[in-house]
Formats: sequence, C-alpha cells, structure tokens
Amino acid sequence: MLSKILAFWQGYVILFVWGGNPEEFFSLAVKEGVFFWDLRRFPEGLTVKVPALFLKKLRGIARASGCRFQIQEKQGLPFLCFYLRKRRLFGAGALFFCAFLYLASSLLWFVEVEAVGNACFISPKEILTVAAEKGLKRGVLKAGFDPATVTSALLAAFPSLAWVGIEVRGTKAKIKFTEQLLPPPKANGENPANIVATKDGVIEEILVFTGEARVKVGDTVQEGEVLISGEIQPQGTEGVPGQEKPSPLYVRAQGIVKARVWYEGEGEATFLIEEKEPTGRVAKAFLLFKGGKEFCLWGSCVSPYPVFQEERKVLFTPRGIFKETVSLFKITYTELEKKERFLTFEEAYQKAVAVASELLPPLPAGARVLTQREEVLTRDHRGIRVRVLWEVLEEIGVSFPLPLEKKSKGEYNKVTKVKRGFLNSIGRYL
Amino acid sequence: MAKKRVCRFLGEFFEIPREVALGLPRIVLRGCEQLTVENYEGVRVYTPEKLIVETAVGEIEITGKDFILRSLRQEEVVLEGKISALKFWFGYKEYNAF
Repeated sequence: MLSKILAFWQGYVILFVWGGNPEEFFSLAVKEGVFFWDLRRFPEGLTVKVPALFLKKLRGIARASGCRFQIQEKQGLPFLCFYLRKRRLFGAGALFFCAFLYLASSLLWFVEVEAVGNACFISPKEILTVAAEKGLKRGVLKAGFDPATVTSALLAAFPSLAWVGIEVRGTKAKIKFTEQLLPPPKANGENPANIVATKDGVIEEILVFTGEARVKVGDTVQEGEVLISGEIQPQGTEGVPGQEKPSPLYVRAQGIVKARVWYEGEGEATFLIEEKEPTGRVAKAFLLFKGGKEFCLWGSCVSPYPVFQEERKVLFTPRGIFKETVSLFKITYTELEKKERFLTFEEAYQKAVAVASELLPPLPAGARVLTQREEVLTRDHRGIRVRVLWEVLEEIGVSFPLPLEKKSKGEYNKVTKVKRGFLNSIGRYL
Repeated sequence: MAKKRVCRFLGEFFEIPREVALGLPRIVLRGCEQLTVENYEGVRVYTPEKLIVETAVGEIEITGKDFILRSLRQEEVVLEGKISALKFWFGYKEYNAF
C-alpha cells in the first residue's frame, strides 16, 4: 500500500514493451537502479508500470537491448496536476466540492430531544429553546457549542431534571434527559381521604393500613361506597357524661380492597358469512404525498378492482428538508373475491364468544379471572346470540379526598362498563 | 575457494545468515501463489508459464501459469501466479560453496 501511495505521489507510467530481448531490457534496467512492478506478458509484448522519472534512462537501455516501448497511460499526482492546470475551473469545482462537503459535515443539521425513562412533563420545545440560547441549535458548528455549558444551563432552567446528556453523532445532536421521580403527594394527615369502591362487587379481601374499615368480607358494595374511611371516630369516650365528644381524627385511608366483580358482554354471529379471498391478481402504484395532497406518480391510484385490499407502504420520508410532510408510498391493491360460507354451530358459537369477549372492558393490572361462563341466549336458523360472563377478582378501592361530597355515580370511575343493578340479575351465579 | 571457506567459517562463527555471508539467494514461497527471490542477479526468461532467475549458485526455474512479476527491483523479484514446480540448475556455474 505504501509503495502504491509513493508511486502515485511520484507519478508513474504504464509502458508497453515489444520487440528485441525484453529480458535483457529489464535486467539492464534493474542494474541501472530502475524498478518495475505489475509486469505482465502478452503474446504481442509486455506491459509494465515504472516511475515516470526513469523514462529517460529507459530510452538508452531500450536502444541497447533492441526493444521498443510506448507509453500507454500516465498516472499519479504530477500528471493529475498537469491535467488540472489545463482545466482550472474543474479543479476549482472539485476543491470547492470537497470544502463544501467538509463544511456541511461539520455543521449540526438536526437537534433532537429524547426523554429517557420517566414520564415526560417538560416539553421538548422548552428544552430546545433553552439549548438554542446556549448555542445548540440547527446550523451551528459542531465545535461551536460547549456541551457542558448547555447541560448545566438545562439543569438550571429545569430543576425537575435529574440528568441531561448531549450526544453528537454525525450532523445530529440528541439531547437526552431524565426527569426526577417526584415523591407522591403527602400522605397521612395532610390530605385526608377515604377509599371508595370504583365498581360494584362482593368484597373478597380487605387489608387496612390506615383508616377504618367500613365493609367486611362478603359484603356487597356499590360504586362510590366508602370501603375504608379516613375519618376515625375516637372510641371509648362516647356517652361519658361531662365530657365533650372528641372530634374525629382525619387520616388518609390506605389499604387494599379486593372484590369479585362481574363483567358481561353479548355477541352475535350469523351462520351464513361472507368471506373475502384474494384472487391472486395484484396491482401496484406509486404515490407522492405532499402537504396533504396526493400525487399519483406511477400506476393507478384508484383501485382497478371492485373488491380489494389496499396496502400502503412508506418508501421514503425525508425529514427536516421540507416544511410539509413529504412521503413516497407504494400502494398494493390485492383483488378479493366474495364467497359465502355456512358456519357450523361450533364455529358460530366461537365467533359469537369472541365478539362478546371483545366488548368486555380491558381488565385492570393485577386482576385475575376467576370464572368464565358463556351461555346461548337465542338461537335460530340465521344465527346465534351468546352472553359471556367473567367473574374477576380485582382491586376496587381508590383514594377519594375528604370531605366526601355527594357525587353522582360514574364519577369515581368513568370507564366502568358494569351495568346498574347487574348484581341482582346474576344472583343465580353467586 | 579459500575466500569462500573463510566467509563460511566466519559466517558460522558469528552466526550471520548464509545469504548475507555467502551471497546465497533467499527464496520465500508463500503457499503456491507468491514467490520472492532476494539476492538474484537477473531474469533470464519470463513468460506467463515460466520464470528463470539467475543467482549466484545457478539458475532457478519456476513453472506454473498466470505469472505476473509483481515487483522487479535490484534487490528482489516477486512473482505471483499459480506455481507448480521449482527447479535448481546448479550445473550452470561452477559452485563449490557447499
């Protein structure tokens, strides 16, 4: 490699040698201190690479050995310089290109913000604003800002930040940050609260840490009912004459209340179903999406088939270049064919159960399904209707601040799907 | 003759490599792809199938195919190709070093 670099620096020529006695030519030349490389023999003659500065010496040697040679190619820096001297503008352009590339690669083109770990309460825009004030913004030199200064400025500006790191990779700078885990709101005494039920259910387990239990295992509770009270009535002093009734102690009730909760969902399925199957015919198109408008580049952007499935794949989305979102899509239309099929009772039943199960609300974390029942409600020649009933053991207690104002039902847990009065209707399962 | 014997003796005494003490060719063969001959005197024949190198002890004939002289300089010659045989022609020169 080094010899090749040296040869390029010195400049070398590729010679074609023919006639006479080439072996003698090379032997004489080597004795004169000339060196060669990449010597190849062909039926017509030989090609060889030799430094350009030996050319004068070689003329005499060729005459002595009866050989002739011809320069096939000139390579290396001296010849390149000579060429560029003739084409000054080209040389200047090449130089400018290299300089521009170097300059462009030493600038920051993208600044990104990434939250690591905890939930993000600080908006990336605020971080970018503070970073820009300290010199970290798009278009600045990579060496033009001090990461330590930006980091300390960010930490000073946002006291809730636990850590800030700046990573520069290529032309992109990434500000990574982690927010501090703030302690939970003050516990005992400061914010008195009850634990109330979020759902109707039957208490299965109750564990009181703080407060006074108002329900016991086996009790049926309704949504909004107080399970553990934060108001502790002093005991033992009631009814003693001459003493004032002591005021109750208010605490923040804490504890675990688990109850059996029922979820119900109904689903239908018809025996005659319509299925769509691909026919095997596929059409493709390329589409450019720019600024909310779509431009068809190639193919038809309207499906050529009446029944079809459309699949859009993003091929290319340049980021940070255009103000609007620009994307190149590849659309694949798959022709489908409608087919009718009769389901068996078992298949229809499973389908109806699946539909009903989907209607059930998502179970909270830590919930455990105790029993799962399905029953056929109606069945005729057209279809089947199935009810799915889940018995779930889950925690239903939630902290609700004191004084407990009269709230309408549903405010404790707006996502509950349990029907009102449902408990009565499922008495036979209890 | 006497000079060579003295060189040989001194070379062995001072543990000097023989190619230095006696001017022997040093031949390095890397697999059957590359051959380097140092301390040579000249190239007698070069074709894509054959290379004959002249040395102080006689001629070395290398046969094979696709031969390229990767380097040809005063101190060494480097041959690349598929080498199949190596022969020494010692009868060419009077040689009594061994």
